[in-house]
Amino acid sequence: MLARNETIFKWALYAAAAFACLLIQWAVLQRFTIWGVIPFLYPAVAAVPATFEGPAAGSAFALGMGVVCDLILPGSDCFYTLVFPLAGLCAGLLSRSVLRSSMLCALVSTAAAFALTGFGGCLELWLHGQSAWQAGAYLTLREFCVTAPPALLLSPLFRAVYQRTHRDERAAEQRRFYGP
Amino acid sequence: MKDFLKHHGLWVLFAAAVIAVALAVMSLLSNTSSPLVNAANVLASPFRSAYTAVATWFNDKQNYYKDTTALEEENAALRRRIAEMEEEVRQAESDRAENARLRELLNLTEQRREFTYEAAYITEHAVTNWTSSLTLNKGTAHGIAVGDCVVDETHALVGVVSVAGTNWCTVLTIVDTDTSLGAQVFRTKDLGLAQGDFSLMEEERLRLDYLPADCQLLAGDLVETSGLGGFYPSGLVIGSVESVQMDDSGAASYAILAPQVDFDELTEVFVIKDFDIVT
Repeated sequence: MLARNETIFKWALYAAAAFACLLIQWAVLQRFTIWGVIPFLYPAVAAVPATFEGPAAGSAFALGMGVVCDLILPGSDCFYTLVFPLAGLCAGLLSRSVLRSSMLCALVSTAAAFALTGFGGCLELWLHGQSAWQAGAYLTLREFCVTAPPALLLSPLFRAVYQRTHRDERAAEQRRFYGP
Repeated sequence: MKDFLKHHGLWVLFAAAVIAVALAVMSLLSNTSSPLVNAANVLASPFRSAYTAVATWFNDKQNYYKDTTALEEENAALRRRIAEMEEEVRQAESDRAENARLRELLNLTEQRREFTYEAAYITEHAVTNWTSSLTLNKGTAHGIAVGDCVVDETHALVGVVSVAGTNWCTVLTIVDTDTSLGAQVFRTKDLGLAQGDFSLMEEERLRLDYLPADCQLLAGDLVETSGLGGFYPSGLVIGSVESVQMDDSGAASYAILAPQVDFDELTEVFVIKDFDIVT
């Protein structure tokens, strides 16, 4: 269990890492079109920290990420605020019950985040009277394929944040396991 | 940092919560963009402009050294087109004089089209794959409001302002799924609704819906805004008909439109802040 100041420090570090990712998306990734789509890092940034922090904390972080995305992306209203916590929850549950936190886990979580975002986008279009499930699914697939390589780099970045902020906790665990 | 957070962490969280609630209330009361969105974009605006300026400079240098053959061919074609248009202008001048005489005889009000423009530069093109938008470097401080039409230098419609901040605004282009405009086919005067379609957005195409089943559209027919309802000015060119298809029910047809504007090539646009049209 981390002290209050350590918890605040930890989330400040996560926020700084996420901010760096947003800068990369804004300054580099969104200037390129690959396979007809712009690489879209935001769902991965929402999902990957949850693979280290678990479902509850991961969902809260993803909620914050969703709010930021809704602030900076046009025409989204509160779409990402609703979808990203679900992506964080999925990623957290996945890492706790199916896969250990790893690059593979980050990749699968990113895929799930894209699937949820794509489904949400299609659902929103359907609610506005436009049925575009097939086009939406194809777009989501391409978005994931072009974003997966940069998204893989997020795993070591957020792992470093996790290890830096849980150092004492890990040391205590090791002492418990191996003895003093 | 750790000590600061240890001693003041709770106060920082409390202050953040109070600010968040205050901003949420202000967002509810605001009729343009919410304060947080506005603040985020006001801060990002100079960086966007700087980045766009650098990218444009590189593109200009690259284009300068491109083969001039294409430009020479284009120049010859444009000269031919100018000759044709000069002939049309001469005819139009004689028609205008005749029109003025007839209006005077029938005691009709003179037609008038007046627009108030605000020139703006595009600082950012589409940032997601699910919307087709542009960010401009002008906002409410320059008189721009949500719902204003945006055109290029040839008076072709680019889109409609969807969010306006202090020194920025977001324009949803005519191919975006949230865009819907009253439209009229110039040749046949058929009315329809031009709206973005997600399946066509990537190809930069849009649909012209609710056409009469017996409409006689041809590929290449020009489509412009109808101006019905008074929200948008009439006569702004939306695009041209690419193909005509029947809808699933078979009772109505729709057309696929190719916009007159090439969104990727746009750098400067004009926002119509006010208009006065008398026909």
